[in-house]
This record gives sequence, structure tokens and C-alpha cells, in this order.
Amino acid sequence: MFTLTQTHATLLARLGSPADAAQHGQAWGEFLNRYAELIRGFCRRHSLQPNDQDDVLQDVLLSLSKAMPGFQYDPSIGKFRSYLKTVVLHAIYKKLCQARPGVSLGEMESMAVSQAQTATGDPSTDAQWEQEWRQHHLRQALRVIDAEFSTRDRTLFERYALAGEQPEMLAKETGLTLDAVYQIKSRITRRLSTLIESQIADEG
Amino acid sequence: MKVERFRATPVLPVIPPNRQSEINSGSGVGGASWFQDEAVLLGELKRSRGTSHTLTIPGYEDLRELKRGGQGIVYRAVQRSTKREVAIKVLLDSAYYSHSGQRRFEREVDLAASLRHPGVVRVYDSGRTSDARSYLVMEFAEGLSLEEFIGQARSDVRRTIATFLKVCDALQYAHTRGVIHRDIKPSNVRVDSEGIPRILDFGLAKIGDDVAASKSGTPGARTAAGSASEQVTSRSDTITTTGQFVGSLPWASPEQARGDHDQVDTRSDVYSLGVMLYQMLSGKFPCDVSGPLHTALNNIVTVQPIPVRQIRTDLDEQLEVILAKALSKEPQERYQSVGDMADDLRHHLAGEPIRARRESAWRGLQRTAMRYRVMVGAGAIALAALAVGSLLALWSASEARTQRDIAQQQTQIAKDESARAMREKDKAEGTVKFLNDLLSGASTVSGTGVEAKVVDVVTKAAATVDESYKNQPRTLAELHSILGNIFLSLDDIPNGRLHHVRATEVLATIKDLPKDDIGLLVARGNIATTYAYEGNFVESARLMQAAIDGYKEHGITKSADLAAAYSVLGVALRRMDKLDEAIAAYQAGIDAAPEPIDPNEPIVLLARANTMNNIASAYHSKNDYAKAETGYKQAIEVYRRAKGDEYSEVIVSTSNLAVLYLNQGRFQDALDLLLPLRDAAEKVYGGEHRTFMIYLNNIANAYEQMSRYDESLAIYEDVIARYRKTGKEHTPEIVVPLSNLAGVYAKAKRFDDAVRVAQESIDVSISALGPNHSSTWLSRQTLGLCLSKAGRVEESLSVLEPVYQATRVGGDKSPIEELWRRCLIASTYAYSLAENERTEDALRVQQEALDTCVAQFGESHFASLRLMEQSTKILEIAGKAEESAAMQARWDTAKRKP
Repeated sequence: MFTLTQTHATLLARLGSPADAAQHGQAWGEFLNRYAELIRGFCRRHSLQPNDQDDVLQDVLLSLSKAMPGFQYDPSIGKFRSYLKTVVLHAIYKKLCQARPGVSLGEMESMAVSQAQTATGDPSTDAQWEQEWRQHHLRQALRVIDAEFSTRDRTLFERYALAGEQPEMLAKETGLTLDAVYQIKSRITRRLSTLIESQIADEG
Repeated sequence: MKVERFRATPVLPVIPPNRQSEINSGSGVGGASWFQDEAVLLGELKRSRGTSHTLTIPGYEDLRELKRGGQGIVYRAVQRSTKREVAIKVLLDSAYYSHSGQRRFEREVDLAASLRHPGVVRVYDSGRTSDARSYLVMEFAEGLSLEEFIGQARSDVRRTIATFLKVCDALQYAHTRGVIHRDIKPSNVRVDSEGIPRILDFGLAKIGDDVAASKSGTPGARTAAGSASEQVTSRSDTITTTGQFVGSLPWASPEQARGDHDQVDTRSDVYSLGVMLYQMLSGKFPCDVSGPLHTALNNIVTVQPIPVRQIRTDLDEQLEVILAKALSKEPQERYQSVGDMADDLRHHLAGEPIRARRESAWRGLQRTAMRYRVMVGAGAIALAALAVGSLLALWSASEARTQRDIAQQQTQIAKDESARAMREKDKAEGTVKFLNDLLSGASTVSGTGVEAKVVDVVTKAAATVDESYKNQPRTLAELHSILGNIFLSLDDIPNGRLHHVRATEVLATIKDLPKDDIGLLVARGNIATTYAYEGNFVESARLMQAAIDGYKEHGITKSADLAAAYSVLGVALRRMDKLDEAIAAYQAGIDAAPEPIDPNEPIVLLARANTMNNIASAYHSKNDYAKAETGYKQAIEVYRRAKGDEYSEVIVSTSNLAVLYLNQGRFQDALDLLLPLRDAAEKVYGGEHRTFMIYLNNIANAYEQMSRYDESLAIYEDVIARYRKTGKEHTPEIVVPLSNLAGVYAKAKRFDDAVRVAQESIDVSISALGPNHSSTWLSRQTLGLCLSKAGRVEESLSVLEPVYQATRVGGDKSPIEELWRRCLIASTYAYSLAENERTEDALRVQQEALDTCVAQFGESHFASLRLMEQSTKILEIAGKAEESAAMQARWDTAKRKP
């Protein structure tokens, strides 16, 4: 069962200081578990195919690993998510630039950088990134929900809160009271909210 | 026909983001509110329905999540019909995958499912979940992982090898069925209660297609791909390398570590097996993968493994040799098949001689050195060319600069010679002390006792330097320069610039400092360089010019710093498209360079060759063919002298020169240049590398221009096949070869094929680059041509008309830059008009195109000649026989001119 076993800061710290090989590999593995889908989602918005998404993911990993050794996690300097965004954008634009034949490597790099630089101020990119980030938080939170709530409750929540089925019908079908159905929905919703709140706080 | 060209321009390093300035810049971060609003929260949740967390798969029940990875989620489940336990791997979000991705996945599954071997975990089934994700149903394999199994039996070498051989057999079986595992490691092998190992997780498998089988024979065509049974691989959309990759790092082959996924084949599995055996026998990994990720990757690629007998002295020498062969960095040096490796192991067990030979230490070293050079070649040149002061030898450079400063200043009238001399001495001493402190300070920086990183050391030193040297401004300035260069070499541009700026500030505090003080000029040049690193060429050029002017005012004409400054200026100007000025700057840089101590030192030669290549490129852009040719040839000569033939820059420069020849219509010359180096190119870049594809494309183009269509077709088809093989059939890189192929089909009168392929190139171009990209227009052009040649004149016109309209505008409005290309497009359109009996329009358009081309490029330019040929034909169609004959004569005359 997947649970958030550690704070975000701890994870970053582990990435930055390789105590031993197994730990290190594990830390990166967890990092990827957390962020791979987020990064892929963002790549898809830029119309990158899965092959290219893999390359971007690898690129991001390499960039981060170069930066990590000196990385002192200090929330006051700036959010990790902004930092990650810039790294991801840079990797994406580099990939997009590679798509243009005849562009030399040097030009590619500077194009990638200048595009990344403009994009980080670009409201539409920012909005996309925000959306992806929300999805990311939801995914994380949902994993915990999976562990904490029974299949019945989760199915109920899905059908009522998301699919919009009638609570009266659901109550009848499951043999629960109407009130119980309402309660399940609100419990899960609240739990999601709390989880995401603490995730965001943790992330810095 | 479009011909690809690339330049050996300096490679700028990857620039990491400036964390310092990224303070919460996300818009609408609303970190506090979106999840507290129920409606918004649920709305977002609905949007994420694609990854539903309550999963049902028909036919299977009792799903329990086992583990989650970058590729997907693995569940344990029970098959309803048989009640047997299975493992189900559900892949991430395939809603976004293309049709071809889906097909590829299905083919993969079919192949994996066809594997029936006691050593391979069965794949039973596949399908799509209710929310359109693909899943794979596999046998649930119990038992110990190989690691656990071996841990108990390490001392028994023979038994270990025997178990290992079973894994080899299973893998060899899979390879012969065309399936490559790509992720061989002990945790992917389960050993059951009878000690039989079984390989699982062929979910990362790469499938090989037999290319030769899919090609229906073209009469006379030779396949450059080699033997018919060559194993080829296609890349699966379902591969998520990175998540698995990190966990599999110790077993990754050098080509995987480099990220060359195109190069991964059965021999990569051989490497991984080698690591596994090494580990099983010695308990250790052959390469050190314990440090930070990029170090580990680098070690895998470049560092030779420790011979296994240094760890386990009781092992037989034969085993060491076998392992060394399996762990060769170059795939062609390894066992070419798992079976071969297994054979040698069996020979060893039987006490017989093995096939692998121990290679001499010298060759090993040579090879390492060569490989390292090839890989970092471009970067090293770039740094050498861009270095101001020196990024490579900090201390010696600053010392040299100090000495030069001293030497220069002695020729001037010094206000206070003794005081100045004292300052220099202080500076020299101070610098030595600083650097010593820097290096020895390493142990005091990191509290954890872990080996300190350079950046930590430097950052700490940087913080204290202002205080420690406040009374020695020259020294302090020098130190800031050094720090600045160190940060640049660490790819930290902001800090690099910070320190270089600081250097100028410190110098400014010196009383009575002359405005064009040497130290100041150098510092300014450094700042200008940082802008170039960032890609801000305008600013870089401006500042660098100011610095250079300062040198001139100082009366300095020969100086390494000045030469480097010109070099950077040249790069900046070329990138600003100021070609004449760029060339002038490069030339000035050559003139300003002082005589090197050893002119044959490779780094000196390379720097010079790079400058020559850049100059030649600039001339090429200007269509000054004569100068470009000289430049390229010089560059090639020097590259050869420095590095020999099998070196990337030689290939690149040669290819550039060949393109030049092609532009000039010297097709045989181009061929003579390209053919001898073809094998070297393949060796240096690899058969599926983009650069090599361009190289082949150029050869094919040469054949085509010489009307040797069969040979041309064979190569174009080979190029396309290679692209398909590596899953690049929908990427922009394939557009030009497809378009070229279509053109040749048309010339060879295979019209149906021509139109089909031309259409394909348009489709790919639109989807990959967009409907208004220059490549798309050129592809449409090709289609128009093919239709015209096929006699489908009306269709041809309807295709060509918009191309003409879109491209005729000049300047940066046109999607096509090169004027000669636009003229040819116009001419094609004109011809089509003529075919459609719109004679007046045809003549008008053609005349305009011809006049423009001749005015710009002269009568003898190959494009002008082509246009004259077209004019001849158009005039004939228009019934103007006399004028047609006159045009023919004009063509004759023009062709004979040198």
C-alpha cells in the first residue's frame, strides 16, 4: 500500500546527500513515484509523445541530480514546485527544439533556455502548471484515501460525488440510510481537503 | 531536394534555473483555497477521472495492489475462470497514446505471450480497463528473488554458474524470438522451490521486427542494413525507462546510462547479465554506483570495471576474462549473444578453453580515452573556444595572466613601479594562498563527513573572501574572477556573473585606476561571456566589443585573452546573423592569438579547427562557396591531425563540405567525400543516430542528383527503415527523408509510391511540426511535383498553388528562408501552370523566378541552371520554340563557366 512515508523535505534531503547506494536509489525511486505522472502530464500538454516524455523525465532527473548535491532545502528561498517547473520546462523546450531539423545543439540550448525563461512568466503556462500540480496533489491524496476507506465507501463516493447519481437510489441499493450516504461523501471530501492541505504545507 | 546541414558550433552547457529568484511565481497558486472549496475540489477530481482508483478488470477479481512504479501499477488478482493467481500490470494512462502506440503494445504482448519456456514467466493476456488503460496479465511467480537465493550459495561457484546458465538459456530463447528484456537484474528473476530461475517483467521488452522480411523486394535495390536476419528493434510506447531505470542503475549498460535508448539491443542484456554474474560471484558491482546519480552514470559509461579477481582471489582467470568481455563498454566488443556467453561458461565448467581473449591493458586504456574524447569532444572544444582566461586550468591561467600583466606594464610608464610590483607580488601570493585554502578547506565544509562537493567548498570560500582580502583589491578582484569561472564551469551562470561583476567593482575601488586597466578589461570580457552562455548574444556582443576596444586603446594586439574575446564575439555575432562581422571577428581572433608553446597540442589544434569550421559555416551561410570550401578543408585537416579520422568533428565538417559541394552541383565530389567516411560515421554516431541519418541522406541526395536512382532509393529506404525501427516514424526527423524518397520514386517513375510517400511526409510534418512549418510546405511541394510527374496535372496545380503563395513573400514573413529554394518552388508552380495551359501566368512566374535567382546568385549557380532548364521546357510547352532554343543555349553557356 502506498503511503506518504516521509515529508517532502526529508525526501529532498535524501536526494541531496547520498548516504548509501540503496538509500539513494530508493530516494530517487520515491521521487519518481511522486512526480513522474505530474511531469508526464505537463509534457502531454505540450503534445509530447510518450517516447519524448521519457526523455524529458530522464533529462529532468539528470538536471536535478546535478543540482541536488549542493541543494540546501530552504523554504524561504522559493518553492520547490517553481524550481521543478523551470527544470521541467527547460527539458520540454529542449525536446521541442530537437524536433526542428537543422537546428544546431548550441542554438537548441539557448532557445530552450530563452523559451523556458519566458514561459515561466507566461500566465497560460503557469495556469497549466498549476492544474497539473493540483492533479498531482489529488493523486497523492487519493492513494491515502484508497488505504483508509473501504471499497464500498469509495465506490459510493465516486458514484454520488463524481458521477452525480441520486443519493436516494444509492441508499436503496446499498441498504444504507440517506444520511449515511451524505456522511460518507462529506467524510471523504473533508479527508481529501485535509490531506492536500498538509501535502502543500509539507511541500513548502 | 532538401539537404541537411549541421554545424560544429560550440555547445553551450545546460543552464540550471536560478532558484534564488523563483519566489512563488506561480499564478493563481491560491495555495490556500482550491481544495477547501468543495465544488472546486470535486471538479478537479472529476477531471482526473482518467486514473480511477477503483479498478475492475473483467474476468479477474480480488485485485490487491502490489506495487507502483513509474511504468504502472502491479496488482495481485485471481482469474475467475481458473481460480489461479495472476499478476496484472496496469499501465499508466494510455488515453493519450497514439493508435500506433496501441498497436505496438499489442504486438509486444503477442510476442511476449508467445514465449513458452520454463525459464520465463508466462504472459497470459492483455486488454484495456474500463478507463482505457492497457493491462498485462502474467503468471504470478512465487519464490525467492535471485539475490536471496544466491546469498545463500555464493561460495559454491559452480552451482552459482549453473543457476546463472539457466537464466542465460531463458534469455537466449527470448532473444531468438525477437524479445529483448532491457531490465535484467536479480529482482527480476524468481527462483522457485526447485531452484529453477524464471525471468519476469518482460513488460519492458523491446520487440525486434525482421526488417528484411517486411521489405518486398525492389529489383536491384541493395539493402544497406546488412544481412537479412539482422535483429532490429522498435521502441515501445509503454516503456517508462526512468522509474525502473533508477532502480536498475547498477545493471544498466553504458548505452542505457548514456540515454542512447536507440542503441539498446540484445547485447545490452548481455552486459546486464555480466553485471549480475559479477555480483553473484563477488558480492559487488563492477562499477561504483554509490554516489550521486550523474556520477554513477558517468562511471558506468567511462570507468573500467575492477577485475573480479581483485575482489575474489579464488576465482579462475577464465571467469575474469568472460566477465571482462561481457562488461565491455562497446557493444561490439561484448559477446554478441547470450548464447555465446553461456557457451564460454560451459566450456569453463568443463575445463575447456574459452573463446574470449584477454586484451592488453594498453588497448583498454586507448579505448577508454578514445571513447571519452568522442563523447565529450564537442563540449571540450566549446569550452576551449569560449574560455576567457581559462576554465580549464584556473591557476595556470591566472598566473599566466598575472605574468602577462606584469610584462605589459613594464613597457609602460608606471607612476610608481615599485609599488605596482609589490601589488603584483601580493596578488600572486594571495592567489596561491587562497587556492590552497580552498582545496584544503574541503574537509571542514560538510558536517556529515561526506566528501564535500566543489560547489559547497567554493560557496563557502566565496562568502569569506571579501573580508579576508579587503586590503588587497587586485588580489581580491583576481579571486572573484577565479570564483566566477569556477561557477561558470559548474553551470551556475548567475553566480558566475555575480563574481565577475564583483571583480569589476573591486577594481573600481582602486584609486587612480586607469580606465582601460588590463584586469578590468579581462573582467569585462568575462561578464560578456556569461551573457553568451545564457544565449543573450546581443548583450554579449555589446560588452565584448567594449572590452576589445579597451585592449586596442591599451595598445595590446596579441594576447590570449584578446583572442578568446574575439572568439566569443564571433560566436555572438554569428548567432545574431551578422555573418560578415562574425567572420571578421573570428579572423581577428586568429590574428590576436599569441604563439602557443606547443602548437601541436591537441587542445590548441582543436580550438583552431573549431574557429575554422565556424568561419567556414559563416561563409557557407553567405553563399561564399570558395571561402567556405577552403575553411572546411582547413578545419578537416586540423581535426584529422588532432584526433584522427574516427572523430565526430571530422565527420561533421566533412558532411558540411559535402553539402557545400551539393549546393554547387558538384555531386561526384560530394560522393567522393562522403563514401569513404560512411563507416566511420556509423561507428562514431551509431546506426540510428540522427547525425548519421543526415549523413546517409546526403549520400542519397548525391546519387539522386546524378540520376543514379536505384542507389539513391536503396539508401533513402534504408534511412526510413532505420527511423521506423527506432520508433521515430512520426517525428519531424523523418519528414525530409520521406520527402526525398518520394522525389526519387517520382524520378524513377514509380508514381504511386511517390505520391503515397509524399502524402505520408506531409501528414507527419503537419502532426509533428504544424501546417505552416517550412518542412510541411516543402513536403507539399514534393507532392505537387510527384503528381505532376505522374501526369495528374490538375491535382498537381491545386497542391502547388498554395505553396507558391505561401512562400513567395520574402524576408521573415516567408516560411522558407533560402531565396534559391523559393525560386525553385515558383518555377515548379510555373511548370504546373504550363501543364494546365495557363501559359501567360506560367511564363510570368517563371521569368520572375529566373531573374531573381540569376540576379542574386549568378548564371552558373545550380539553382539558376535548374531554372533555365525549366524555362526551356515551359517555353516549349508555350509554343515559343525560338525562345526555348535561346534559353537552351544560355544554359549551355552558363554550365560551362567554372
